Amino acid sequence: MAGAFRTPSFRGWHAVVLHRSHSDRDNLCRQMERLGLTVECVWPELKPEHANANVLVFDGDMGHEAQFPWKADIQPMPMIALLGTEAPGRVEWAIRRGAGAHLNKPIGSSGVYGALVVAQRSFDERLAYEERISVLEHRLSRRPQVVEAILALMEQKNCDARTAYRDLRELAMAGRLSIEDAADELNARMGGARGNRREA
Amino acid sequence: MARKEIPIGVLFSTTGPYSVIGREACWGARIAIDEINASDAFDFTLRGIEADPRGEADRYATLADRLMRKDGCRHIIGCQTSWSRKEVHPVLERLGGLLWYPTPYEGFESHDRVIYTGACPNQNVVPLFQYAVPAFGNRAFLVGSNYIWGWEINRIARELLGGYGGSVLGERYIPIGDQEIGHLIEEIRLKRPDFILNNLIGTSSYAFLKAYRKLGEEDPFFHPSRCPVLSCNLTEAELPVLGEAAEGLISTSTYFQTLDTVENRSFTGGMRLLRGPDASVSHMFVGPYLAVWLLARAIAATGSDDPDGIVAGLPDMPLLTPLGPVRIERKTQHAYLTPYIGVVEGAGEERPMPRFRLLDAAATEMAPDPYLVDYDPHAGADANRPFSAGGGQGSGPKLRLVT
Repeated sequence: MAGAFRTPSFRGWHAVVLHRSHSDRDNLCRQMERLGLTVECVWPELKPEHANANVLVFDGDMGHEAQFPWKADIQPMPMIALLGTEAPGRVEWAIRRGAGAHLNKPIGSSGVYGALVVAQRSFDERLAYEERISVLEHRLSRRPQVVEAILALMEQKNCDARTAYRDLRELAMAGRLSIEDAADELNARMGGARGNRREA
Repeated sequence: MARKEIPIGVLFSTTGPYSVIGREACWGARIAIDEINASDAFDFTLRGIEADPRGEADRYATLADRLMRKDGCRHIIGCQTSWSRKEVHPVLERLGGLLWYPTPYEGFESHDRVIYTGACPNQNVVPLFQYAVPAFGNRAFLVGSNYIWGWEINRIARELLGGYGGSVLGERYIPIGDQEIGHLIEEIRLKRPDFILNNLIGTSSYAFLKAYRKLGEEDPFFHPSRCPVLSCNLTEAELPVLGEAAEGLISTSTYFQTLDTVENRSFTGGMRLLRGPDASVSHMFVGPYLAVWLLARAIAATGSDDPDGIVAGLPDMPLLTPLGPVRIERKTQHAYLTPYIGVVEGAGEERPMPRFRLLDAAATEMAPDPYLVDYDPHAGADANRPFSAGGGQGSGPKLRLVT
């Protein structure tokens, strides 16, 4: 479809650059300002409020854990690592710290736009995957309720598991619910009925 | 006292598939160098050292290296394709040179060692579509030579059409120099778009335009008044090669020979004296011509041909040229330019010469925006969107003038 592609724009983004004063940092800032970003340079360490930045560019050569006020498994924004050394340990650390893209030092006149696009895209994709995984995990954790509902239906309708599952799925579709929500609803109703029977 | 002589590189392909525009560019640089050397406004002279990469991208870096290392040039006026410009970047970085790039291009670049004096997208394809979509419709067919210029201009075109609620009926590429275009014409005949955006270059473009002219003669749907061919790089330089096939072609450029200004009347008069009464003047000539003048003014203003000093001292001061003052924006090192739109009339005639009739009387100077930072192509007809210019008349996307 025409217009499906959108030229990535970083106008109005706030960037935090974690790097000591250096010509690499100056060249990086110049390129980012050309792209419409506001840039804040920080050294030697980040503050908690820097988690609000739209993008973080950090030094992969001299960077270390204590510079970050958040844990490595939290990645609040797209991140780009500046790499001079390609020593495997440094590259590994940069990735672990959340770099979704990198720029090789020395920083010249190009590369920043591409790195921003790659970092943003990989960040967005990771967020989407994480959200999807968390939804799936939550649904997985409710498997016992689904099993309970199927057993209840088998007992009530004197049918096999396959038929009970099909009934449950139809119930979910009719109510526009997930199968887990339908199971919860059914269990509540049946549980109530069973409770009543017990009382009787 | 003898004036100091400063060597400058002139790097254009005067042979090869796009030599028509390469030779024009070379002449533009030569004549500007002669004018500067004849002027008493400068305490130096320029010596142009020419190199011809023959349209082969891989030869540009080698020749740029030779111009700088062997011939002592610190500045190069040159390149007419983005591919060749990108080939030259590493040489400029290594040797500390400065490239004056005079050709319209697709943007998304701002190299410290390049001064861009040709139009970038907000100064070429965007104003072209602002004119063309209301005039012809929003269903386009895109063609291009298979390299970055065509890919990127067509990508922006696709996005612009999306913003207008339009569509791309086809997007086709052929290798530079290829003249087998029958399949393109056939597809266009079947798809029947509102207009065609042509990003082919050189001989491919000539073959395409001649074949399309023939299609228009067979089927009136494809007459230029109904389904025209638009481009961002067709200039007067190529009209003689195209003959009658040029009639009705629409192009955007920051210079047309028919510009009605005092400076341009005097300039074109001077060029007729120099190049003969029938020689046309085009942006392909004027771009390098102006670039040499800007370089000379910059050397005079900063007192040296040191590229770093020029980059630091050049921006923000308007530099006087025979076509009026030109300003380079500090942040992006691109020129402020006025995009015009013209339609070819009188094609194939010897007298008067074919020419571009200007279609937009109210063209205004635009700040360069190579990354389209200040422009939202998806804003479409919404006049109240955040990045729009004042005004709000018309139905297309607007540009924001950054001053």
